[in-house]
Amino acid sequence: MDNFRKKTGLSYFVVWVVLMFYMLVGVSYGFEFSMQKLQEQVCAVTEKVTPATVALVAKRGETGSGVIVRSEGLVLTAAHVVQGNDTMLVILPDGRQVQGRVLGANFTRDVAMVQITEGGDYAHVELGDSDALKVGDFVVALGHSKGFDPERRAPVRLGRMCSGGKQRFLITECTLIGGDSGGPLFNLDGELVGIHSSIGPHLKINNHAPISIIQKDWEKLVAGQQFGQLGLHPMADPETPVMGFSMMDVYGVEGVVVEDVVVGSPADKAGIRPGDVIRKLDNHRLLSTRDMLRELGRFRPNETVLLEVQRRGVSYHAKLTFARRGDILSNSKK
Amino acid sequence: MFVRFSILLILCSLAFAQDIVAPVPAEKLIAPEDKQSLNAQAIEIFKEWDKLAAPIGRSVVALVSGKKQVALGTVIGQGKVLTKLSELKQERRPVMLVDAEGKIYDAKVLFALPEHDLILLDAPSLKLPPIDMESYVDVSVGQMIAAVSPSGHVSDFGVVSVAQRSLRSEDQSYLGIVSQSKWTGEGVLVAGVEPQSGAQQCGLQRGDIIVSINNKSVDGLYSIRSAMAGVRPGTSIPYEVLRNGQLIKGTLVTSARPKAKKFPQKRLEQMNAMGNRMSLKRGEFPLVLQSDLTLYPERAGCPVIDIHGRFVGIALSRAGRTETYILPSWICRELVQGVLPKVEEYHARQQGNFIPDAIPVDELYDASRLEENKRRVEERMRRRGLIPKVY
Repeated sequence: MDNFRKKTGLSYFVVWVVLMFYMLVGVSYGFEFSMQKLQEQVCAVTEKVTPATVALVAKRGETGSGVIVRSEGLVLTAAHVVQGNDTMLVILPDGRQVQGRVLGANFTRDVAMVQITEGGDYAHVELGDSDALKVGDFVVALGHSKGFDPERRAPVRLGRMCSGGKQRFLITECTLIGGDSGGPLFNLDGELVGIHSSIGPHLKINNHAPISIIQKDWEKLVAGQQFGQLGLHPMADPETPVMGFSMMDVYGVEGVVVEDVVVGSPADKAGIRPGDVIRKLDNHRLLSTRDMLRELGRFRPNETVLLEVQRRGVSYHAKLTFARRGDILSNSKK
Repeated sequence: MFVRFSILLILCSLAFAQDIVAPVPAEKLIAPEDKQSLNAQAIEIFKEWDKLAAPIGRSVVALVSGKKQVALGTVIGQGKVLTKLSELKQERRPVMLVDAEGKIYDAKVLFALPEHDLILLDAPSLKLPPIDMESYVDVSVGQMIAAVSPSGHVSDFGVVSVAQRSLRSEDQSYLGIVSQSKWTGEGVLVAGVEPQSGAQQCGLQRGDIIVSINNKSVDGLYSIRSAMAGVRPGTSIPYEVLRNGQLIKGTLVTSARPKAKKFPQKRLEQMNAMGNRMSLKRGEFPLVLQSDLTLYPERAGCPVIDIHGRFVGIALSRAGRTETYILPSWICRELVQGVLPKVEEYHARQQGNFIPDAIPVDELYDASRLEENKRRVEERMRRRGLIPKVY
């Protein structure tokens, strides 16, 4: 009997080891970076999307890029590319030039639509899900850098996401330069996830408007509505999430100090009071108001976050649902 | 219009990426946790690359001046090193050839290849294995490539952004017409023809409507240039024009595109320099691949590999925020197989035979400086116990 038990014990152990082995191998395989696969994906994306990546030329000669998303010739681009123009010259990758009529534009988020007026069956790309992008995901950027050049096709760039896909602007390692503005950013399935917008003083800071913002405003943009303001301070955008308190940095305090709370705001409802110190937002440590501003970029109105708040040395947690900045502002005016 | 057009292209400002008022400084835009996870991921990726780069890394040397690295060099034959010309030329202090262990070698300048911005050094005592030129590989757009340092590490990787092409206007075909930009009908209305151009020689006239060039229908200047892309100057290509309602077919011989004067584009230069440093020579290369991999100017001259560790080419120049230029491997092979024997022949005879693609160094570069000062610096560094930093 004893022997039997021992035996069973051993076999269980063997099974356990085999299981562990498979699990570990399986897990490590799941995370393994395959260069061969990535290269195949990038090449496939390039081949698929190059025919749909166009250059846009304004009347005064400024050039930017765009991407065709419908076979009838609907082009997505950046708002600052079409700014001040009713029509744009659209240059197809083979050098053919067609006229485009500027439709709507969201200047605050730097996206716009142009409709090619000459009907036809244009090569186009599919829209993807920018919200699903995660930090570290590989993405592919195209665009007619420094203007349309017949001697080359739109240069391809590869990089990783440096921000999540729900950010106000996607930050990637795909380097951009003048002329790329309005050009497309793709996931590895070749689906459009962003539109090139601006660059920062670092090679890793290349900003793209997420495609989700265009999907949200699709009808307005097709109808030709132009709204928003270029270069607007993000905190002045009515679509940004707000908590409803003013904050300050206090020397020597690790966290964000609440200065004042708007009555009836999400912060008020969550029980936050002046003098509280917010230490964490969804487990992300906040050291200063700067960290808070950056973290806010991850969220949208109506999303709920968990805050770690300190009041007179005692920590407690508070659940807070973001409001739309526009709503809070109109409330406070009353 | 071609003249006017090219001027227009250069004068026209690009729709620049706008400046967005950011409440958070750029270096703080990426959250610390995200930075950490990106770095961890990068370490894994670079580990993979380093495995591939190790064999070719043994054929890379550094050119060091004082404690500063000027360029990297690729060993292409027994003791023969290809490295950057312009960076070495402008270096006022003596330059040394150093391997990954910090060992300094005697080197003599053999020849300069100013077109490619390369210089060929001879270091007889250098015993590093040369790059295998026979197993060279052609790469296409979208393929991943990486630059290799002397230590056998990969300094950065990227993709082939643009297929191989010439960056010189004289390698591009030129028609020589001025178009009527107001014309909205089919084809391109000729408003004038430039003297001595291909268009004039084949008898194109003001008022003609160009329907097709090189068997491709055209509707504007962009499409004319696209139809002629890749056609070498001096090639005869078919054309079709409408003259007084009659379709005329013929062939014309293209001429070389005249060099367009470049106006400084302050804003573009500013964007190129954002978070970036650039090489001295950034254009006019006869044949290069374009990649998005980041290459600091002091790392130019190193070999570039593909994802199987094969030799793709030599990194030539960091030309902007988005561009690094690479000399394709097959040209490197031609240089080695075509020029190297002739260089040796030249030195044996000590007379000025014509050597294609190469010019004697004395006219261009003070080669004696390398040798004269090397020993002195070496002495001084040894006394101080300094080992040149190679990366």
